[in-house]
Amino acid sequence: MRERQQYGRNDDENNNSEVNAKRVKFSASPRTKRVTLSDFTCIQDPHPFGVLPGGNQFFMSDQSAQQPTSSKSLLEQVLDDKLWQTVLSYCDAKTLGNVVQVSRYLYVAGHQSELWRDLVLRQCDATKIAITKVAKSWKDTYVLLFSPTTTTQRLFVQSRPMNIPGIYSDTIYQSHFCRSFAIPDAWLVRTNDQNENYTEQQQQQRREIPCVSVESISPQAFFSHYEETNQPVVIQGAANGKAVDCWSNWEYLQAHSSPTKTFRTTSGAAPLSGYFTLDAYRKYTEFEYLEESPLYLFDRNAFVGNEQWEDDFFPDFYRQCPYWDPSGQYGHDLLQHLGSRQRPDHTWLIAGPKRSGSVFHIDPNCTHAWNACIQGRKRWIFYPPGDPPPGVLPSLDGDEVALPLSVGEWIVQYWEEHMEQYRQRPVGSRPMECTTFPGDVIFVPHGWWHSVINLDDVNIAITHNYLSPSNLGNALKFFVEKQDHISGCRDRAESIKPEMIHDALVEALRTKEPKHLEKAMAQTEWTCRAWSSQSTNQPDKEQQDPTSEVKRKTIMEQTEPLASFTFSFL
Amino acid sequence: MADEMDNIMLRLKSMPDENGNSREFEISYGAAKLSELIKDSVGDDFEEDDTMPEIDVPRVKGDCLEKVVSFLQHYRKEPMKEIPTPLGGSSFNEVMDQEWYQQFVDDSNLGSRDMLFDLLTAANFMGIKELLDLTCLKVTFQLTGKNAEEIRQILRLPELTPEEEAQAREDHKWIFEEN
Repeated sequence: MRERQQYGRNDDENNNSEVNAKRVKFSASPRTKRVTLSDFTCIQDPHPFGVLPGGNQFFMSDQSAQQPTSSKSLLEQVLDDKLWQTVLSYCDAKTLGNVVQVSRYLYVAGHQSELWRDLVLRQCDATKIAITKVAKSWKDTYVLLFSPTTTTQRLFVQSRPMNIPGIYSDTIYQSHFCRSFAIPDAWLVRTNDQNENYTEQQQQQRREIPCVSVESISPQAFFSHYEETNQPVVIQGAANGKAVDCWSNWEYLQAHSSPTKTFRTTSGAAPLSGYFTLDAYRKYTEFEYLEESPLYLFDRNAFVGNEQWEDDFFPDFYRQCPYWDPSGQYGHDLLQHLGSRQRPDHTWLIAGPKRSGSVFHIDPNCTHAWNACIQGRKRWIFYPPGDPPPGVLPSLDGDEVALPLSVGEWIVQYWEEHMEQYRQRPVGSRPMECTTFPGDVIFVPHGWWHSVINLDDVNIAITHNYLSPSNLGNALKFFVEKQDHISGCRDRAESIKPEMIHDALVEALRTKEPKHLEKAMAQTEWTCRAWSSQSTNQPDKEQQDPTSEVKRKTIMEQTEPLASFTFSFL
Repeated sequence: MADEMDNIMLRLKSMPDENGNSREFEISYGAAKLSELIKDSVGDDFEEDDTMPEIDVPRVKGDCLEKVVSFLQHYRKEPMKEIPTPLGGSSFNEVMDQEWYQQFVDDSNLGSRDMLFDLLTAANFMGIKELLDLTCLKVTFQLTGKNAEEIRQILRLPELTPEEEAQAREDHKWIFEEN
């Protein structure tokens, strides 16, 4: 249970708040301290099976005379960690269960969480069952779900991880780091001040996404300062209301939801989605599985048929933010005119444990998004349109993106390069960051790269993607030129299919919003670099510069588990 | 698909045996470039002159290299299908339905389990992903259906201590039930 007063400004750090009130912005408190890689690497928990990084084997004296310095046999050393990962990833559950009993190395390697997670997800998919109960690890969950019930009750023993000394493996240890990195103190407090006092130049140079209070921003100000200029902003207090007050405990949510309803969960690393009941998902987060990319709930149907949940959030929100009210006078959420089931997916409930989140992506279909923090804090990292972040390598036409699969991995590989970008990049293409708190709503303008990390034990948010007059022109172009990238409509029978969306939207807006439509159709070029830099076949400046070519090669060599990844909005 | 790369020949030289003798094999560049090691050693443009480029493959024994070469040559003619995940089959032949490749990793062709492991490490060393996947898959199915003691013998691995083994067996009783 979280108390909201914990999230307040860190003024108690200063002994005399009166004297220091003016100086607060410039002191080296956690609020202004630069976060370095060492802030992440000071993890407290050792590997549950006692694994240490590879170099340690040269320093460890034998625990006892008869133990070899490394407890891998010659054969195991010849087959390196990555080869074993491949073999183990092909094994079915019974085989894997036998393999872990074979030797000390295989005990540790075969217990890696991801292997068993994939077995659970695949078996659920094959047998078309949802996850209705969980145990304290993926392996135990597999047994709980798939062993015949009578025998399970008789034979099932929750596994007790054994600490096996003498296992040195960079591969396994790095994975442990990626899933248990420390969360920097600087991320946990408010640092972006309300921006009324900054000049425009100062705003441009800032590392923080600007923050305004919901009372202080009128619709006109929102449109002219942020939506039309395509700039992100955090609106403090915009999400306040019943949801923020009541959804701090799972019991409330469960009390107002059907116990058999299942919710879709996913993560960058999972081979497919998993479907949980709310109770099972809650237990999953409470067990705090150690894994690199925890499954987070991301469900487009969460509000369907649930009036209580809808009422807890939307009425207050629309009242506080009329610029985001679809039925209001400002002509927003233009895709609604396609019909609520016919339009691409648009509103999701998001929930996830600490360190879950998503690596860099651009939201689908040229849409803007608002993301309302209901419980728990989130860290956001933004990169402007057309300027991919370190570690993210889109192909020239934008069809594919290669990037690390987990947030932890990105931090390990690229945090230092990310820090450089604040210095090296010209103003206007620099990254920006901030932390959002419950009650905040962040505006994610179309085309911006962004990554999100959940910081608290329980994190719940609601997000919605939309088109407004400010991005309608780009969207219409997108629906014609980038049909392969259109998402959120391919796997539902009633949704309008990609090749029809452009015409359907034009048709609908002709009667509903003719003026906005006319203006959008007059637009011929992209007004956002996210897509304008893709369309030409000429390599952009970055690739022609020889030094950056070298840098790219090094990146490719360093990042082993790079995979093409299309962000799965479905 | 015959193009000029099939006409350019290379000579691969294996690791010397205990008598100091290496074995040599000729192979077209078109086939050999599946190996990252060979591709990197040769580079993208090479001079076509009279001498055939010779590439040392130090960590691979002669009879193992012979098998690697036959894999590369066959792949050039009949590429191996990618191994899907999930595997989509409960036996090796169900997952890999191409006969030549089934036969290639069969005991009768390899002669011994050691050869399978040699091939696996050769594929790793030479950077031949397809051969690696194939041999890993074979190893997996050799372990399937065996209990821990049998797997230990197959892999010739040192045991857990008696206490560790006892606890591990205790935790994994669920395996012994039949579905």
